[in-house]
Amino acid sequence: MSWEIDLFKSVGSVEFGRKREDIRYRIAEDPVVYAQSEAVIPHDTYEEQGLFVMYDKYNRCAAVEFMKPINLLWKGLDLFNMGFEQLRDYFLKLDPYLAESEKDFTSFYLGISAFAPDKNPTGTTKIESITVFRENHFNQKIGICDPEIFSTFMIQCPENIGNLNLVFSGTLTEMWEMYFSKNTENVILLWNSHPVALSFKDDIPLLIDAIIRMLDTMIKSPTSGKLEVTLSAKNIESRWFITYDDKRIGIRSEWIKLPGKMETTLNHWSYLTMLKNEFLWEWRTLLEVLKPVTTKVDRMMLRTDDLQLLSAFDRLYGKIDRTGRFYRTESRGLKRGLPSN
Amino acid sequence: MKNKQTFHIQPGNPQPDFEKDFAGDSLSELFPLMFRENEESAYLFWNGIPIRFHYAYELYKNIEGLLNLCNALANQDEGNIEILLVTEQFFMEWKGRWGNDEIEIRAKFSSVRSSFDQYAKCLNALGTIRVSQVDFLEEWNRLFKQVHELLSGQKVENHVLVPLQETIIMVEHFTTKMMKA
Repeated sequence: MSWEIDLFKSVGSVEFGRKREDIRYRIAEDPVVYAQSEAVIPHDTYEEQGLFVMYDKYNRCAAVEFMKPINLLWKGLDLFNMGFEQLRDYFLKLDPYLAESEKDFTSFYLGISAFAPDKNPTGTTKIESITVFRENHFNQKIGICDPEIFSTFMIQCPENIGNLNLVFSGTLTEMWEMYFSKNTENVILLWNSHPVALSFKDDIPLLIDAIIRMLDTMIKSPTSGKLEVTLSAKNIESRWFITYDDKRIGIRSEWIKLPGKMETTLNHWSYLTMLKNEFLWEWRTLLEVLKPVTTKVDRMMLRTDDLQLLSAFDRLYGKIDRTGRFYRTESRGLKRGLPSN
Repeated sequence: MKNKQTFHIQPGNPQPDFEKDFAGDSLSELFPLMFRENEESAYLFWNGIPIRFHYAYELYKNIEGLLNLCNALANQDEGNIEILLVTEQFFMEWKGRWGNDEIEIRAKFSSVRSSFDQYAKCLNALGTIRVSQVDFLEEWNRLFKQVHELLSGQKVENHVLVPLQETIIMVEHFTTKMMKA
């Protein structure tokens, strides 16, 4: 029996995205079910045929791993008839971003990976298994990042229309307070997969100053730096000790106060490290929410320190020109042309 | 001073994948097809602690149980219910009883991974809520209405959304009746 790959759609009779019962119906063998760990969705193994069918968290077929001997076909080529290096070079021509490790290669662009644990320097390694997967397989498989494994920092910032029909006067902080005075929503800051809610009404006006100065320092001295940031408002007391270079940022944090004593949890996951640009981009949507007030205020009436803060805001708004992960158009509707060969 | 017990839902602002056709029959199967992973989530605020409730996974896992819960609350003056809600971070066992326009829920939060044990501990320390039945239902109905609005008129068969529509109407009738009373 041969299995023909139709990119991201199917392989043989197995269609990606189909429910487990549909897939089981299509494969003429009773599966052995392996649950790899608690709370992880179990996968089906078909030992006679040499298949391992993997399901996503929605119990839909996400990937199939094939073992030798099996006829796995890609545009007429029998993939197991090729050596690891030959197959890798073939797919490298189709996907220059193909990722290779000591034991395998993966093309996220083509939805295929080959496993060869006994790679040898002569360039004639036999392939042990080939996995064909559907688009977004890795994304759906992972779900919420385990902070034990990945640092994460993301910001969910509601589209916010504050009250612009006001005569803004006083300090900038007072103006933000007026602008958000009727708003009951929260900005959600996801720190190592733990949500921290910052109220537009009670917290954000008091935090803006520290946030703008933090981001501005990183923009003005982009190659490296150290800074300490104190975030203090009704629902949050936290100190961030930041170190960064041109690419990466590391933050050691101390959480002093959060609702529901969540500071104990956040202190357990107090350190995060990530790409600096990713960190900066996460703040973009909040800057967009703040922008209307900066255009409405009469700058002639502001104190010097508030004027400096607004200059910093303008600088940031120009420099941080990409949105965070939730708001990127490519992740809200990724469309890509697939290679014809 | 006794802390005020609260329950609140903050809906997100996700953008469904309008180009997808949905030919299935089940409401729950709709969510992972229409909503992406990297999207805003709704958040449940349990006594002030936020819990992620994603439009794809958490609605996929829990929509039927939630509709049953809200239908029961809107149809019976008093009663008991047990429900298991599953999120990517927690198993939430809710034991609820209601009457006299008040619902009390005693919840047990168990983390799906040990990394979220401490988070579950904080939630369990504030494991009981006692709130107005109308307020509780209105919180859920706001989310249901938003989802219904996002999905109706898209390439989704109308009958798939019927259970959602029925609950929304039932809850609206109940809350209107209670307001008048």
